[in-house]
Amino acid sequence: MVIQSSPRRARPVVVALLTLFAVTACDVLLTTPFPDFLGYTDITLDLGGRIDAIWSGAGSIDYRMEVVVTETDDPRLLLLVEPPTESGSSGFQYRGRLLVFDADLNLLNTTAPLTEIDTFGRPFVFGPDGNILVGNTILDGNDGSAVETLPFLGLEGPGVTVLGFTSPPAQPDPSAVVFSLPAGEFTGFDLEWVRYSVPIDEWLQLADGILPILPPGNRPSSAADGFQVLSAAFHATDDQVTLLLSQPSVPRVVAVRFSLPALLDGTLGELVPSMGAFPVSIDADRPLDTHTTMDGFLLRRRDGWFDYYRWTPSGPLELVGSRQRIVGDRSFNRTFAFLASGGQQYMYRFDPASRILTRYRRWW
Amino acid sequence: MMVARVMHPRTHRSQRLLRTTATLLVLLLIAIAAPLGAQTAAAEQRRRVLVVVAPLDETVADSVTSRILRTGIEQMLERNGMTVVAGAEPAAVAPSRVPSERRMTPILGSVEGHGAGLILGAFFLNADEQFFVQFVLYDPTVNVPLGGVLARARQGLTVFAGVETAVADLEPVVERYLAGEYFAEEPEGLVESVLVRGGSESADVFFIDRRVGRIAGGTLLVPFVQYEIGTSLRVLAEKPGYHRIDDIFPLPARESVIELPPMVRQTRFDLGLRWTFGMAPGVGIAARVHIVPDTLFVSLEHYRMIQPGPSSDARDVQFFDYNLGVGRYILFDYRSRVRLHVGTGIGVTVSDVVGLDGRDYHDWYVMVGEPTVELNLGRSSLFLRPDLRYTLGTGYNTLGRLWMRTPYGLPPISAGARVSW
Repeated sequence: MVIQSSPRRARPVVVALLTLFAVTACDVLLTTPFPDFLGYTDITLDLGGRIDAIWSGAGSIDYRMEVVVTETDDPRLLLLVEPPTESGSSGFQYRGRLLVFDADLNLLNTTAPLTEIDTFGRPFVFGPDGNILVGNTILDGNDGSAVETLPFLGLEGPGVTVLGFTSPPAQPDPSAVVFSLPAGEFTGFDLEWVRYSVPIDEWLQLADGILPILPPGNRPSSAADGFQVLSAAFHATDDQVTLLLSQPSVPRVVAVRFSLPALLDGTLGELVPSMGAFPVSIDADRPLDTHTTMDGFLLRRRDGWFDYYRWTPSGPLELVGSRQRIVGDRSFNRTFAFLASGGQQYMYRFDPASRILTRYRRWW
Repeated sequence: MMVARVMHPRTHRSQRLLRTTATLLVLLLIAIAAPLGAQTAAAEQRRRVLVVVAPLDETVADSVTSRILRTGIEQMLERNGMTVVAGAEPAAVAPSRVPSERRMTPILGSVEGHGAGLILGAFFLNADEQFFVQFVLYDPTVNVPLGGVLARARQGLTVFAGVETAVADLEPVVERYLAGEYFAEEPEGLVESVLVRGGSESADVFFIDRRVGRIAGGTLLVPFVQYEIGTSLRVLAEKPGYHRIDDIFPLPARESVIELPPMVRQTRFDLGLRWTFGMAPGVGIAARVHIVPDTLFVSLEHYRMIQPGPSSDARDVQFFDYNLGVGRYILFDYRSRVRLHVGTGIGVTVSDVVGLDGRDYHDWYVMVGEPTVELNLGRSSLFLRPDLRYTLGTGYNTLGRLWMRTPYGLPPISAGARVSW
């Protein structure tokens, strides 16, 4: 028996394919190289003079920008300015300064480390007392001035601020929990965590531990297949933390949600049982910037796209809705930060070439 | 009694031989007589003369002198046994007081010969109490002047004396002609004339580096070129504002025809309209000034694009793109249907957020290559090019320092049309 395809049956398929091609082609051809967020431009601030005051010598300056926020504190935008550290006669000299802004780009302080041997860096996180932990330095949450220095642990990762748990076992003290790969590791299968509490005006390191990402018996043989920790969000409604991780060798970005009380109690064995068990997995090659909120996360991809993915705000983690995408920024030396807290929803961009800090309204 | 006479067989053979011999003799005589007849006809034609008399100064109507001179010449010719045939008067001689064989020869060449073997031209001039006559003997069968003489006489009370003197000077020349001392053979293997067609009206035509005339009515006849048949001739055609034709043409026959391609006007300036994939909600204009027509140019472009606010709380953004460049056609000449040019330059895209006072974004860029394919349609053309631009990342900019392209990896691609002058 010979089966012949009917032209009448093939016609809808052809039309559908042509339509798909036209839509795709239109999208490809109508996309511009210019960022879609330009129309959200809100405030600009020229920091040229201030940065010159920090460093006007030779060499390039490194910049890093973070937003710290809690449900109760005024958000703060922190721009870390790190000039070259080489010093001809005296060897290493850290010249980094932290420009502390409020959400409206009002400069609160230009902060230097308290001692010559201290440096600024991750984590950037509010403590439950309203002060800010930057690396191992405590900043005053109001004016951004340096208050005290903690022992340096070498853990450079994201942190979450925990004001209290809603379900038993309730923890007695509000705290800040920081997650990080072990010091010096580029990728890994274990996270180190440390919990700081704040009795009166002194930060204490209450507890720390190791959190396996995968069980030891179910890991790839190569350490190069390990993970990097990108960002974290605390869900106060059900005491859960959502961690965003990158696996550069795949490359992909994965997310996982776990109970923070279980972690602190030592009852959490590992994040996921196997490589394929992450509830969220997205193809992405080492994103340039990420930001995680209770509702989702922002991704600045290397090819220039800005993506926003929504997930369930509580309960089991899964993506909801469709991805929101705009033409973003392909420049590697620019730094972005995001504020998504209640009514304050902004994106910040700092451009090293012009040394102009710009605030954009919410595009996601 | 009937007598029968029987012819001897030897007698019969003799008669037959006699008849055969007579036949052969007749044929031989015919064969000999035929060329002699042709020679006689040629000699007869040499004695048929067409007399052409014309004043050298066409502004002076002197029919009396012309008539007297003609009569004197005709009488002298008839005295020498020549036959004068009637013919039309020639066209006017160019206004010049200097007798010139070069000027007269074309006139004689244009006269219908009426079966004459000789045209005798007499171009006269009364000036400063002197009477000049330039006699020219011209062979119309091969279009070659055989000889001539310039006669000069003092003006007397009547024109007869001057004519008589002039004709007396001519008579030895005629006698030498009749004696066969003037002889011209039709040249063999030479090009007699070249007809140039095409090009452009009023274009100057050069053979090698010698100007041979100007195209009028679509053609130019160049007589007496005397090139060998089969010669390859370099022909140039020039006209202000048009591309020069410089090419080699064969001369395959005595009367050769050269077909010039149409001359193409040089482009000095063009205006274009473009649209760019990757900057779709916009349109651009461009102007180019050709430093070397259709080859080297300076361009100035402007493109304007509006990016509508993607949501109600976003503002529209207007983009103003300007660039200045220099370019050169590198593949195929101005006649080609498809051409390719490249260029370089510098430009800036200004991004203005509508309704937001403050600084605009400025993306300065360098145009790198800009390879452009052009479909040449004469005075108009269509073009397509990828906009290969490297942004410098200076100042308050949107893109940073990188190749300008969309997140899909494509550079902006411009398509447009130009009209040139």
